[in-house]
Amino acid sequence: MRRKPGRLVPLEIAICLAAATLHQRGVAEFHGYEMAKTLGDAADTRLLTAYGTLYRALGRLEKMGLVTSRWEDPAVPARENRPGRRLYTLTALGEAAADGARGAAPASPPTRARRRLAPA
Amino acid sequence: MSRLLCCAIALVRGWTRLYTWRMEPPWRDDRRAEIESDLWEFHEDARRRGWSPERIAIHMLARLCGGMPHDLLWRLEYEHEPAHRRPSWLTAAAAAGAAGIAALWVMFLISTFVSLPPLPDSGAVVRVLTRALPAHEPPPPAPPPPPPR
Repeated sequence: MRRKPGRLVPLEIAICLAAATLHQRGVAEFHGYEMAKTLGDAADTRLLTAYGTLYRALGRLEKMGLVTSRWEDPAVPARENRPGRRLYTLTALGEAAADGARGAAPASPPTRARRRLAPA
Repeated sequence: MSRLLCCAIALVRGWTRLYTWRMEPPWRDDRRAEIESDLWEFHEDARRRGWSPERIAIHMLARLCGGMPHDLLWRLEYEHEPAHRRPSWLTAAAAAGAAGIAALWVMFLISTFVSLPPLPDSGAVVRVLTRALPAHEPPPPAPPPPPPR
């Protein structure tokens, strides 16, 4: 299915909203798993967003300029003995998209499918 | 770590390697590192929450299977970007090379079958075997000496 350029799919909107929520909580940067978990909590699902679905959406958001990303300083994961994280930040454009999405659908209840599975 | 969990992690890594195969290093390495980080974070988080290794493995496999179409689409999008698109002459040369190899293989097969002598009829094979087999059998035992008179 070909999508219209510049148009956000539900998962991308959900990511922008979740990133804005994290930002309000003082988390300016988030990594992929953190986003999957936040989305899962928001949608009250057991199954987290699939790897391919999540990272493709994040890549598209970055391409559209709604998020930026950077790899964390290699010293940090080396010290904590874990793989390095790619940290994403919501841009002003992303915040505007989140605000727009909030304004467009203030109280739309999630569908039955989205209640069980993370938004795709 | 259970065998199922090891298998799930290996499958996620293997699939990521497969769909990022022959991509430009920055794209390929970024995606692989990102999946590796996600695997680690998820495993640690689930372990802290007391999930069993089997449950973690099933969750990983579900996330893997659910995202496969998007992985493939992501790869297709990458291939269709003008910056990563291979030149048409290269694609044509690769296709021509593959067709040439296939044609040579078919010709070799045809020539092999054509040049083979016809199979002998089964009666002749039996006759040849009957004649040949006694030569390989051990010699018959010597006859017993005649009884003393």
